[in-house]
Amino acid sequence: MILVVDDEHALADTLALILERAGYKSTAAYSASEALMEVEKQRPDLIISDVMMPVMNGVDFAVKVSELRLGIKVLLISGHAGTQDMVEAAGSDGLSLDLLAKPVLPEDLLARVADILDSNYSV
Amino acid sequence: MDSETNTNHRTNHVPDLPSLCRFIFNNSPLPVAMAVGAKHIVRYVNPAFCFLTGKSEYELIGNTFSEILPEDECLPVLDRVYCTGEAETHTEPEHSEIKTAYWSYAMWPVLGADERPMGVMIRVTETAMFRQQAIEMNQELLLTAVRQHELIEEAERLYAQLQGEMTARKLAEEALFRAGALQRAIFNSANFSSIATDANGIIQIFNVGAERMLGYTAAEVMNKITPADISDPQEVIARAKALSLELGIPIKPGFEALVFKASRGIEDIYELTKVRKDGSRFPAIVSVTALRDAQEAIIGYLLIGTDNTARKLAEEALIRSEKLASVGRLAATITHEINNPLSSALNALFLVRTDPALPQSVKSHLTIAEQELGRVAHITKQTLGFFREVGNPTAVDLAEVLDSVLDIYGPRLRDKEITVLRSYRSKTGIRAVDGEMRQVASNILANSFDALSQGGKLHMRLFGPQAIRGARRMVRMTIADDGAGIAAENLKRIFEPFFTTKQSIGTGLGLWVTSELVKKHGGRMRLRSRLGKGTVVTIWLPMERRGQEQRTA
Repeated sequence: MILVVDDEHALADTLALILERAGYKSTAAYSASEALMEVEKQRPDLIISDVMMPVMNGVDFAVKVSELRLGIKVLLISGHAGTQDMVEAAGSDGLSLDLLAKPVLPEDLLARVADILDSNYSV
Repeated sequence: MDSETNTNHRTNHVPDLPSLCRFIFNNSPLPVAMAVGAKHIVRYVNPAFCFLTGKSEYELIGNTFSEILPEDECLPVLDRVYCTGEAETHTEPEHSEIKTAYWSYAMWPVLGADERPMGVMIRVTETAMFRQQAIEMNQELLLTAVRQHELIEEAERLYAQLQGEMTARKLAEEALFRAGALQRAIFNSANFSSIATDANGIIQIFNVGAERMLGYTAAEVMNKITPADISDPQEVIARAKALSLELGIPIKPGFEALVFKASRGIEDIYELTKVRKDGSRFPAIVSVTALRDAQEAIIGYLLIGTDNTARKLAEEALIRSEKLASVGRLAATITHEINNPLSSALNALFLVRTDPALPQSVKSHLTIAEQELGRVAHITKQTLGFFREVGNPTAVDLAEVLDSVLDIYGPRLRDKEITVLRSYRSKTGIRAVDGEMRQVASNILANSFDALSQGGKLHMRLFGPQAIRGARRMVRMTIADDGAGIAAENLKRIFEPFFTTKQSIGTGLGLWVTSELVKKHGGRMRLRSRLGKGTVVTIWLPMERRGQEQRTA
């Protein structure tokens, strides 16, 4: 199960549809708090999350997910140059996160998703 | 004995600074440092140097100079002085980075008993500091000139009124003497051009500073010409016109235009291009004061000038860097706003294209739409600037990168019948983010293909690791073409974002992004080009990326 989190509804919805078409089961959430509820309910294998979101950003969200110790993999997507520093800061706290720059071409995203699901690493 | 051992041997024998030298340097307001050995290990820094770099002595001593000032342009000079043993000075040209201060260096070798350099003394001056000093001195001088007049007036008044009284006369004489001393001090200053004229503008006094600045000797101009004759004639005419408009009085384009305001008691400081004896020109700041006798009649004018070249350059650099900063901010903002809708649109198109029910007839239109939006995506990614996708740097084989990028351009190579020469003399890998190295190679090769004409030559070379600037060993990559080349006036702007000569087909981002990527990897990039001859791009990339641990160790 893949959980897609983005405050841009259109983006979250289309991504979820693309993943469904590629054969994954997928759900869209539009905020970190909504996503945390979905995590409890559905225990996803992978979360694809935007970084710049109101209330709770993607990096803080990933930290929260890692604290649940459910072995969930996280891929962050961002369209903002400044987010690199946030991700690196999280990295220095021992949390290594995958990051892709927006706009991500669907083919590239699917390739990355397959790679990540094959790997052993999770937050 | 290999050179490395030789160097260590030489470094070990660098004597400590004699205590007198140390005392002098410790009290010097100019930042001074001493570096020893080929790696330029800092052995001594004075308090002014600590202040300049914002680091303590303990943080500086024992580190290499390239660690203290990474990327700095003084490093090659440092290498040269150490190798040749000849003193050099270096003034940093305007920076492409956003930096208001720039530095100049004087470096001289510390010679050992065998007369070979063992180290280098480095003196740094902040050019901005000199500017500030020049402005302050100028103001001080103006004050002094005003004060001088006051003193003369006071002395003359006292002299006239109290002629009979011995005490008063004594005072007047003292004041006059003091005025004379000031006058001498001013006229002996070599940093300011002081020109005094009679009421008609004919030069009467032409000081050392004026001789130095303008290239004339005093004898060549005194009693012969007016300051208007050594000023840009067009500017004098323009100034006369502007003043006539401003004051509503017709003013002749000539000396009158330079002093009219001062003659009416209006404080007057203006910029004017001066013409030297050899015909060369420089911007000057001129301040004009009317000289008056006891009856307030004008007997002449004093024109004090300072060379404004350095300030002009600094101002231009500042304007340029501000422009770049605002462009960068704008680009980042717009990109961010575009990325989300763009992503959604790309996703939606993908969903439509991969829909099995899609009729074949619309597929080609969709492909075009996707390709074009893909181009937009490419541009926003470039604009966002070297967005660093996580993926740690790995060992990258530059030869493989060059070859595979060249493969992508295969059809264009064949169309233009371009001959490709390869000489890869190094198999040494570098540590880099693979995708970013591909972008570097791709951007440079794309430029070469645009510049190459039918049947042109492209030469790609790789050289083994060399020690550049002491400690860091770099692999060198060059990409040369014999294409159209770049005009000299464009060369200095090619690394600016949005600068392009390709009009509609260029984004003006390629070289900017490339240079930022190279910088990010701790490398250096140089581009040389001649119009009609071709272009050579050289990139140095370090074998190992310096880690955080090394820097704090």
